[in-house]
Amino acid sequence: MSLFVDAFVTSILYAAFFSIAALGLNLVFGVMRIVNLAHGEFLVMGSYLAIALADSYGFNPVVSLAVVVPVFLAIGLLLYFPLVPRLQKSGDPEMSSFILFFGVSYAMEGLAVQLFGVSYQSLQYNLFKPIHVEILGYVMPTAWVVTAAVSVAALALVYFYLYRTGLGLQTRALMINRDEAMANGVNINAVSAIAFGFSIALAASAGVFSSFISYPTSPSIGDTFTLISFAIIIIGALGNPLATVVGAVVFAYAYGYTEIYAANWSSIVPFIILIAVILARPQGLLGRKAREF
Amino acid sequence: MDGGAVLEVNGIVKRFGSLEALGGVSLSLQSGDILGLIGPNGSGKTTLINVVSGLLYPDAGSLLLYGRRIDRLSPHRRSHLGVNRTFQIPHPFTGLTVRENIDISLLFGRLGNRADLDQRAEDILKLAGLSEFSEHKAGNLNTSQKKMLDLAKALATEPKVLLVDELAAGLNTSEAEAVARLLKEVRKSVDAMIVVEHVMNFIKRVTEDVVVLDAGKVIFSGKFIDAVKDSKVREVYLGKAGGT
Repeated sequence: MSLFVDAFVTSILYAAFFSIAALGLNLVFGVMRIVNLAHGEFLVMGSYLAIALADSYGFNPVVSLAVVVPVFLAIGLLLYFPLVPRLQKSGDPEMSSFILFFGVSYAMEGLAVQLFGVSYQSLQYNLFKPIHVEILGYVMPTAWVVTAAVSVAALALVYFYLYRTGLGLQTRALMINRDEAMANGVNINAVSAIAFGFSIALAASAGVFSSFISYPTSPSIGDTFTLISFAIIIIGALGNPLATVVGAVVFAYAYGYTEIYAANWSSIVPFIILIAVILARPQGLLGRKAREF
Repeated sequence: MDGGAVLEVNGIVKRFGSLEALGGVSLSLQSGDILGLIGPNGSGKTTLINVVSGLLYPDAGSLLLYGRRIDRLSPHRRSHLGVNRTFQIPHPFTGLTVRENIDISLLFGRLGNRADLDQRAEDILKLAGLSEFSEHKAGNLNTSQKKMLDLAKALATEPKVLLVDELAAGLNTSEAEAVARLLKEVRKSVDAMIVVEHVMNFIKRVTEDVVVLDAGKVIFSGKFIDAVKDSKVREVYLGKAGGT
């Protein structure tokens, strides 16, 4: 019983974390119809910045967010203009984006090796005091609870942005019909650049907490995060940012339970579920609504 | 150039491969004009609207809005300068509510506060007869309501030149009547309008001034009552024998 409930609770934490890890990838695909294969590398860079801030200034990860979010938002905005509008003009933006961001991904991995070396690094659990907290009789690392809380807060902010602001309304309009949005005066580049900036900032924010809840940070781990994020948004529904949460819950429970009951299968079962979803519902679990929200 | 022209279309050519869809079309709109653009299927009416609104770029010729060249500008830039359109087959943002569709046009590319838009949104919804559907998903509207929403969205951007593409197509008589009445209301708020139409009875309710296109060329320009007597126009619509 205890193991079962442990897996259940841990999977909730994983689901919250995986949601913000993958959300930005889906936002970019939904708005721009391109795939950012360097998504995981931005997550890793966010992680390295948080580790550097903790090492140099003793910042705990929540404080580090005040630096990481604006820095990566700015990086996203600056990268958008030289990269994305050109892709949109190509005959097949989706395929071109695969190739372009594949290159960006490897360039960033090489940069990370130069800057931070190849060894694994992690934030220390003792950045939070106390190190453990008890919730409903379960003792767990404070870092995990904070990770989940920050993830839920980030999801709420994204929901507010998409569904309660004029910018969000125009962002959703762009996801539904690009030509019509342009005819109605929506500035495609401004709205897309902001979405791209948010996407990079979300990935980097997930990176701040990634060494607590998933893998230690290393230059090569970015590919794994891109792969997991991609699997999650396909399970949920490609192009529908909020369906990411559904994909993350499915992925997290598959991962969480196999990790406890059959650890050797924990990196296999979630992807078997991915294959099953692609075969049974290629549009994803919430696919019917992929372009209607 | 006549200094008073709102929109000038000068020698517009548009080709799709070897097909010349527009072969040097010219026309001019003055303030207050409503121009009926008529012609058989495939004559180039919608292509011309697409070129003026920016969905297509011309291969030759120029477009001037109040004397300013606009033919290389993106659709959203033209929309900001005052050119907007409706679509023959309307494409509302189907997953959004009717009100949200209007809000996008009212925001018009600004990042403003939607709460400030309430009064104007209500006025436009009322004009289009869509008040009671405000919170309905646009995808659930019927064809006539979607066309009204399309027009309402275009109006919300406060266009100076409105291009109306076959609004009456697919509507029954009473729906087409309602649309004609609405267009007469709309003329008060825009500087000039081009109304593309296939249905001749509809166009004469909206305007007297028409341009007739055939195979991408202007074959008649003048009053509607003269157009129906014109031999070239009759030939295009009825065939060489004079027809039925």
